[in-house]
Amino acid sequence: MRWSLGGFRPWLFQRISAVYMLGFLLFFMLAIYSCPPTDYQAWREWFAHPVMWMATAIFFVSLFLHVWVGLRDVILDYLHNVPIRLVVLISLGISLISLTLWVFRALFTVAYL
Amino acid sequence: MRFLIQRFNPETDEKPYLQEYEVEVTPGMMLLDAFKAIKEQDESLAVRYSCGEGVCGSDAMNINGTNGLSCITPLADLKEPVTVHPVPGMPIIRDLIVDMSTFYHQYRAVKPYLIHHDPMPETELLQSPEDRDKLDGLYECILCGCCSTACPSFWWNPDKFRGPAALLQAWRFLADSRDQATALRLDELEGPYRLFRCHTIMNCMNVCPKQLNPTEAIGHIKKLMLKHSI
Ligand code: SF4
Repeated sequence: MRWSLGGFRPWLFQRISAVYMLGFLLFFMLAIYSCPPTDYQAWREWFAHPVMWMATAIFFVSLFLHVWVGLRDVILDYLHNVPIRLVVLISLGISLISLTLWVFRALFTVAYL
Repeated sequence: MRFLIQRFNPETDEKPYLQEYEVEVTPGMMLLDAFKAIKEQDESLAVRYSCGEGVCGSDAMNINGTNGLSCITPLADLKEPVTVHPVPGMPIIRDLIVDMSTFYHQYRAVKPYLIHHDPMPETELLQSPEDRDKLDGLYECILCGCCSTACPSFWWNPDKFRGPAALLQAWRFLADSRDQATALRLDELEGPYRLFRCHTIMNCMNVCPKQLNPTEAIGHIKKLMLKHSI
């Protein structure tokens, strides 16, 4: 029975998301450097492009899951009081889910409004 | 030569304290020899040792801040005053002797023996020289505990994290061509604690008196898990 937090999957995801985020950030900086969007409209159009939109969405999901795995590790190492640990883990989870929803709201606004 | 040695008798002392000793040093002396000389001045000092030549793994301790075996640590290599503590993170029984129960518990938990499901052959279980070579750097572990007691992750979670020594042995049997319990062993290491509390801090490989590399073994286990998961 797998009732506990995972070990292998979070670890694997931490590696994969790190590679993806590095790639995305390199691409992002390169793009900004080589052909910077000139005005607000250009920014919006850039992010509304389906490929860029998708890549950005994946970036933020990777980021928040990466943060989850990393902070979860710190909590498992240092917080030994079970009720406190549970509260901190749940608050962290709720914060990260809220941040994800907020990012998606922003992304949908860019694409559809 | 000046020595500062941590003393603690749980029956009479409230807190551990450092006691100073002075020993006449002759060339070629090991730290363990100094302890023997100290015991002639003060027989109440408790140190555990047996073989005296780095084979039994009884005399692990923290020497000038680094874990090691006193019997193979030359005094000539040590800065004065030589400060000796018991290995960190373990309950002290007395002076430099610690209770290694959690360490052995974690060792037992990795099933450190061959598991073979097929009927045993009439003669020996054979292994090619190449397969045998894969066990070099793994089987030499003397279970001194220098590595696990130098590992912060083991300090924080000694009851749940297997620790470098036990994980090196887990890999020793996963790497053995005669062992048939790979899936069982990998399953047993899943979860957030047993294997994955390792954050590649690498204190283990720095302190191992046998120059073994538990960090590398842990990396091999993770790679094998990856291979078995996709
Ligand atoms: S791996 Fe090295 S330091 Fe760890 S218990 Fe074995 S011999 Fe001692």
